[in-house]
Formats: sequence, structure tokens, C-alpha cells
Amino acid sequence: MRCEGDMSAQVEGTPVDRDAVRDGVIDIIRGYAKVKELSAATQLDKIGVDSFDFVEIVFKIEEKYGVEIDYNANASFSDISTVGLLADKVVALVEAKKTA
Amino acid sequence: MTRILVTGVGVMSAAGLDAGRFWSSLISARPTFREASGAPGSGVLVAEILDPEPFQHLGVNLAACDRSALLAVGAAREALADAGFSGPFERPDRVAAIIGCGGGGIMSVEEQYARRSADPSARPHPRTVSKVMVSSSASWVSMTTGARGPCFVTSSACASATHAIGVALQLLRAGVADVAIAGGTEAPLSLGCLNSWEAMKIMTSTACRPFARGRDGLMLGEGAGAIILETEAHARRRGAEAAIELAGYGATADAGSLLAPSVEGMTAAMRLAIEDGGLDAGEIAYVNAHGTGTAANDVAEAEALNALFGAGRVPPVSSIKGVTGHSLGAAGAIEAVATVLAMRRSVAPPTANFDAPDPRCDIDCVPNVAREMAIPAALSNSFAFGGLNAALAFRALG
Repeated sequence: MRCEGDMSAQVEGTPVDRDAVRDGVIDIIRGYAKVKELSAATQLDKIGVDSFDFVEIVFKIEEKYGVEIDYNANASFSDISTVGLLADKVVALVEAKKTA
Repeated sequence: MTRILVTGVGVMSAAGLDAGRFWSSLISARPTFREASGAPGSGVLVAEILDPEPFQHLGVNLAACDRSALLAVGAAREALADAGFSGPFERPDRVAAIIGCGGGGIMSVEEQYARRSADPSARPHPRTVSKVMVSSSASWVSMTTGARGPCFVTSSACASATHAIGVALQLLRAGVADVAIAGGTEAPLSLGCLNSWEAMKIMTSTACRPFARGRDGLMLGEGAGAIILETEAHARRRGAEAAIELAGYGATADAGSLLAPSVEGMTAAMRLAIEDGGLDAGEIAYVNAHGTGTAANDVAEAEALNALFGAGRVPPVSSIKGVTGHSLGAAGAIEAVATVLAMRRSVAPPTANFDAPDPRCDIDCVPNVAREMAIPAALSNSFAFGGLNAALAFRALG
């Protein structure tokens, strides 16, 4: 399914503000995380959320940035283990979408 | 047979967000209805909870929970407190949670359709399934109270909650559990649901006036009710106060019309409840009627009452739906709570908005003014589309 999301921060023709996207992703995760400290280095399986909260996190990120993350709740990410790597993945998806 | 006591009650309704305020609205026949906020400009009258405050302190993830489940959690929580439960249950596996609900997450499914309708590319929220499933409210009651015994929803339209309470009674009698959180919930005031009810041409445009000559239909409401049922041995062991038992339950199906009520089916359900409770009809001092304010229900129910008790011997009967609205799958629980409060306080709540008697409804419906009277035993009725009839018989402990 297609989703345009909130692209207000990604105006056509301008480069993707990577830091803004990274911060936005981390903010979304922080909204669910049950740990005091959360940084790019935090392991995704250590943020204290259940599997369904994580689906909701993925959904929120997808809605906000108009991207689709290749994620299935029946399996963990094979290549994304930390908050920062997930943020990087989203940055890459947003950039790919812009150049598509 | 093991006696099953009512040790607590809880309610969330436009008439009041706890049993005290609810009762005060009932006995003053205070109108609660207004135009539905979900259908602005429609003129559709409903009994709607407008105060968002009660949902803020339930300790649940509001985004994960349909309104029907929130209402159930609120009512269950109050009922447990009223029963004197605090902290974890001693035997959680012996506590059942049986909740009636007609439509499940009506508002959540409609919200997602509305999103999709406004933007065809919009995706449903990932929590939609878990909010919409009709059993969600029972699960939330279990999760928020720690009840780990049998837990499910009964869904039988407007008899859902009475069936839930009746089934809970049977579970306790059978020794499957010691305590049951039994009740019902419904949050049906979405635009699509209101429009669907309007399409049936049975909604009032003035006020819900059960049993009155000027009645012109029902008014939808939202809410939840819960009662704590407990085996006498369990209640006595923990020193719980209880003045009332749920003595009997009767249920029948008409096997006839989907929509038209059956005097025979109604009469049989009430008779079964009285017999199941080891009561004589003459002991019933008050009946909390289904009394929807529709032409068909109220005439049929009045005829059934006359058939059961005999002409001239029908005890005082009232319907609280003029105040609470018809909250469908929750109605039986909200009305069971009203019946228990009426017995505890020795006051029959009135039938509100009563303009003039209808000779086809030959009963004393306690018009407009509450009546002080001892109520040693009472019935609470629910009669649903689909020809489903259910009644509960309560008795005061001597």
C-alpha cells in the first residue's frame, strides 16, 4: 500500500535533512521506549517494548516519512540491531524515494 | 445450591460516571440526551458521555483500546472497589471476566473506514484488529484487573449483558470460579451506526418515553455496567458485605421473527429466571423493564408481564432508558446495576419522560417520580433483536 506521510520537512528539490530524519525516528522510538537512556547505540531489543508496540513504531515511522520498511513482526530485522541503524535505514528510504 | 452474592457494582453512563451519580440521575429522572456529537446537525438524540476525564486515569494505553473496552474497564474497576477488592486476587485463576457486547469496536472500525474514505491510500492502524475484535473488552477487563479465570464476551445484541451475567452465575454455581466480573459494554455512537439505526425508523425525535402514550422510539446511549458475583463461601471468607444475591437466570429464543418481539418468549424467560431462583412470582416486588420506548417492545413487554403475574397483580415496573438511553449490549448490565441499587436503597427508579398512560401498556411504570418501597426480590429484563430473551432474578438476603 502506498502512503505519502508527512513530507512537510522534505520539500521537493531540496536534499534530505538526514539529521532531522534521524532525530525524528529516534523521537518516535523514545515515545514508546521504557528505558531511561535512549541513543543511537541502544539495541532495539533492549528498549523494553513488546512486539506489538514495535509494529506501532514501524507504522508511525512509515506514516511520518511516507516510506515502507521491510519488516515482518514474525521475524527480527536481520541487519538492523540498533536505534541508529533503524534511523539510518529510514534516511536511506527517504533518500531513495526522493530520487525515484 | 451455592448462593451467588452480588458484592459490588460499577457503571459508566451518560447518566453518571459512577454508581452514586448514576443513581442520582435515575431517581431524579434527569434528562441526559442531546444531539449526537458524531452526527452534528442530524438532530439524532443520544445519551453520550462527553467528559473525557474518566478515561485518563484507567491506566490503559488509550490508543490501543476501543471506547467500548475503556467503558468496560471503568465499570469493572468501580465494581471491584465497591466489592472491597484491592490489590492482586488471592486466586486469580478463580476469577472470571464475562462481558456482554453487541458490536465490539464499532467506533474503531468506523474510524478506519473514515480514514480510508478520506484518503484511499491511507492504511488502517496496526492496532485496528485488536481494537475491533468483539472480545476485546473482556480481555481488557482481565488485563487491567488480573482476573485469570474464564474470560470471554457474550454477544447477543441487546441481551448481551444479561446473558453475560447469567452465564457468570452458572459458572460460579458449577464451581468453575469463585468470583466473576460480569457486565456489559457498548460504544455505538458513531455516524455509521447512528445512521443504520435511523434507517430502521425506530428512533425518537423528542425523548425516549417508555410505556407512555406519546412514545416515538428509542434513543441510543453508550456505557458499561459491571457487577461482582461471588460464591457465598468466598464472600464470607473475606468478610465481604452483601445484601443481595443473584438468585436466578432465564433465557429463551423465539425461533420466530428477527425483529418482532414475542410475548410468549419474554414471558418464558422471566418465568425461568423466577423458577431458577426458587422464587414465586408473587415475591417479585419490582421489575426493571427492557422498556425501549418503541411501539412494539413496550406493548409486548407489558403483555408479557400481565401474562406472567396476572392482570392487576403486576408489581411496579420501570424502564431507565429515558435517562440512560438504550446502550444495546451494555443495557442489561447497566440495568442490573440499577436493580441492585434500587434494592439496596429501597427505592424504585422512575420511568422518565412519561407524558400519559398508554392503555395498551397496562402496568404501573412508576411514572416520572421515584418511589420508596421495600424490594425483597426483583427482575431485570433484556429482550434483543433476533428473538433473544433473558432475565435475571435478584433477591435480598434475609
